[in-house]
Amino acid sequence: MIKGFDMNDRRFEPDDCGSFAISKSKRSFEGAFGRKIGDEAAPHFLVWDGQPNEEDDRKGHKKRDSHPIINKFEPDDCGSFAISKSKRSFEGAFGRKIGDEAAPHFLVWDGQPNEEDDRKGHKKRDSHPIINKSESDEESYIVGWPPITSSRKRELILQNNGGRVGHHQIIKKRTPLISMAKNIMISGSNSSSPSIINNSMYVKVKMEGVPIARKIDLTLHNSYYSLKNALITMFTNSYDGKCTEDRGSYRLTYQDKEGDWLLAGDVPWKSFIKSVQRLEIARNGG
Amino acid sequence: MLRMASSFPEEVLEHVFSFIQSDADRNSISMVCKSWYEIERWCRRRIFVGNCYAVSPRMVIRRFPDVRSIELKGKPHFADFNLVPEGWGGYVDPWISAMAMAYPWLEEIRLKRMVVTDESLELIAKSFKNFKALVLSSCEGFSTDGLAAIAANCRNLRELDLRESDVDDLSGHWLSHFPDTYTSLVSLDISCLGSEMSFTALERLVGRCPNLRSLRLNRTVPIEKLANLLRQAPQLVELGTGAYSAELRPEVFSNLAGALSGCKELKSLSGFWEAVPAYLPAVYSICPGLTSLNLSYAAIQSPHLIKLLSHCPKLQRLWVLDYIEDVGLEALAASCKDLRELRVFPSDPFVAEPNVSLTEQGLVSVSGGCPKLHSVLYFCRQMSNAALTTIARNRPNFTCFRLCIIEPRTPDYLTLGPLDAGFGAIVEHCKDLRRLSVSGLLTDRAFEYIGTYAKKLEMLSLAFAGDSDLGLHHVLSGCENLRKLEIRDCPFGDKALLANAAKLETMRSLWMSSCMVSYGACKLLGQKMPRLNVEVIDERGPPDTRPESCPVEKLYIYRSVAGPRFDMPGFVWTMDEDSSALRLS
Repeated sequence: MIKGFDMNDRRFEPDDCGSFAISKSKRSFEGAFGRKIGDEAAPHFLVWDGQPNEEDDRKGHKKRDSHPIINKFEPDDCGSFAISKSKRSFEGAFGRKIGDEAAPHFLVWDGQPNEEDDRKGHKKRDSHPIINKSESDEESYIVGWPPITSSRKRELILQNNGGRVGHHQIIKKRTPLISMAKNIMISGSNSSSPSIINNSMYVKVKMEGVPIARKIDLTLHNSYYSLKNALITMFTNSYDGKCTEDRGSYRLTYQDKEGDWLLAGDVPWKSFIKSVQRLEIARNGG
Repeated sequence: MLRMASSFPEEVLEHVFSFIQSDADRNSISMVCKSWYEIERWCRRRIFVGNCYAVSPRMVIRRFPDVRSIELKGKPHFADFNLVPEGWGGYVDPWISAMAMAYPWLEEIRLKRMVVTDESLELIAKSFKNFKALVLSSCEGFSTDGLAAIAANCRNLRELDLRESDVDDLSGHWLSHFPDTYTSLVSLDISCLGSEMSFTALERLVGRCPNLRSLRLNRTVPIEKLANLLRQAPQLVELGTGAYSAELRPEVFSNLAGALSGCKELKSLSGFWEAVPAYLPAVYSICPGLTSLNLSYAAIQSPHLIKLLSHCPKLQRLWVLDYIEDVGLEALAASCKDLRELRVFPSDPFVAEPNVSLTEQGLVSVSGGCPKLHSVLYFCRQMSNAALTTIARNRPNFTCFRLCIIEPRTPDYLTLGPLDAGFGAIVEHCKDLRRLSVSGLLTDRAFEYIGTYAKKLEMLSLAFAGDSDLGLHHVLSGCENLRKLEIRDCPFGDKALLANAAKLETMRSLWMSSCMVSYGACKLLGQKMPRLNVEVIDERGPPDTRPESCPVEKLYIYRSVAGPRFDMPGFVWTMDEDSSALRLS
């Protein structure tokens, strides 16, 4: 019974002592990993490259030992996307001589491109994976990790007080990166127009009487009610028995593309999203 | 050949078959002989299609001409975590169009992770006169306009359940499309919607449907109004509240507590967005009968949770945030001896430092104290082999064990070594384990254990684990009942995949993203295995613009009798039998 085959189209027989086609694969893996994929026409992003060369090893060590997460995504980064580059895992794979252990049934391919990486791989393997605290405060970011759904993530953001500045983890809808690149509008933090990052859409919000403006991600909301609630929560900053009755007595206004200030709620949400530039919220009356 | 079948009237056989509902049994029946196949196919009423691309609508309709209930699943599970790019597929429209003509008596449609359009919803509303149940779980692509069509036309609708769907919420007005003559609602779940609805319309709807058993509101229904609704529906068995917060006012509290105490059948509670501790005691009166509690959207601290749980001795299912902490889980283990399922979600997973005191100890306590516990989803920041071994020994009856240690590749915090032995203990002791998600630092040895012991395992999720192809080989060659395998960021490449190609035809699907499978291997697999659809998903552009040895970004392989699909977006390619042609959509 045929279980499978290998890259050379040889049939893999169950009693084949588990030899994982040692011969030719070395080159194919070198080909796969020795090559900087980013060199090619991959216009917008730094893609994982698992080069097991010396330079990268050092860099890898220094930065985040076993921390697989790449990208602190800077809002000004012209399109270097956060793609999970589990560099360490690949070097670990290469560096480790699996055949060394009591691998009971199989001669396992060891596809180490060269001896040097052995040592480096070993070094890495022993290192304790902790997040390098000396890096920026911005949280590290892997797509889809930890594995919680978008609706849950949105709720956590709301609970943790509207999120910290530069909170990019929430991707409401995962659009293909190629088309996302076109959607990216890079704006500095002082700009008054919405900044769209990773399919989020941040606008500045000012609350009357509060000196510091905040930013809110409009893609997390699909109604005025939801937006208003989030803003009130963000600015009032307390969860114990905050009076929901008061939510009616806040007035939400927005500045549209023409620069006019309008009362929020008159136009359908979708039109609002297209034209809103910034928001202001104020208590009604006295 | 003896004509035995004809000596037994068809009607009798049909009647006998009607007692057999499980798909597996029905499939067995259909293979006894040709006439049984024929009889069975005419009287099968319920169809489950685990992968909508495994078979075509036409094929289903041809074999089963009189179906009343269909369940379809679309996107792979990892779509929940944004790993499947938008536009990948999972469109239900072709199914609805085909069924609109073939199954006029269709009563139930259940969809999971599919793209649904308003047009489809309108077609459903118009085509199926006896339509009773629409369940859209984690679906998207439709708006409240489509819901309005359903509400307006489906006179016999019993169930409308939108759980976790992403709905284009144009307004809450759709609810008013249920005519005044409509009274058959049994179950309504609109918890995913964002817009405010006319409360009067909602109240009237609830009031005129005497069979309403399950009502899950959205967060725009304020707590002050909850009591009114409950008084209209004291027969409720399941309730999902709206936003559960307000300034504490005695009359609001007592009104709510009173209304709740009138719901003598209430077994399940959920919702609790923005919950404040002050209003929790309002539910105490129904806690003694409560079997299911979902507080996973409530930022309530452990003292309040402990108090609440002490009132719930019959609790079977608990979903909660990690605010419950180890101390709360210990209390849970003491108060809720009937607990079957526990899910602990992270309250702040994006920071390195723990914000709550929840460790492996909480899970150890619960596994020790709750003899019926068989299903766990647990997010935490530290774990040890010792704890996992204790858990495994305490609770060999686990059927579903999902552990997510938040930081990838976290080792045993005591020994600083891999967690291989711990997960090994889990699979060794829990002989009925059907679903497993692993995390933390794991070598190929962990997969050796899984392949050796996890013989009943059907679904396995791997992330940031393993050292080499040997790991994948252990799983593919060892786990006899494996149906779904999803892998991300593991150093698995061509060899194990190709060497176990035949295994893939025995599974529903395999997902691999950010692994090391080369384009060449994908092509080879597609060529050699005509009954598999090998989909390469790559947003960097066509894979043949890169060397064959270059790894693909994402790979989704599934068995199919329908052949390659034709609705793929520009970043998905199916590896064809004809190796020189790549199907570009």
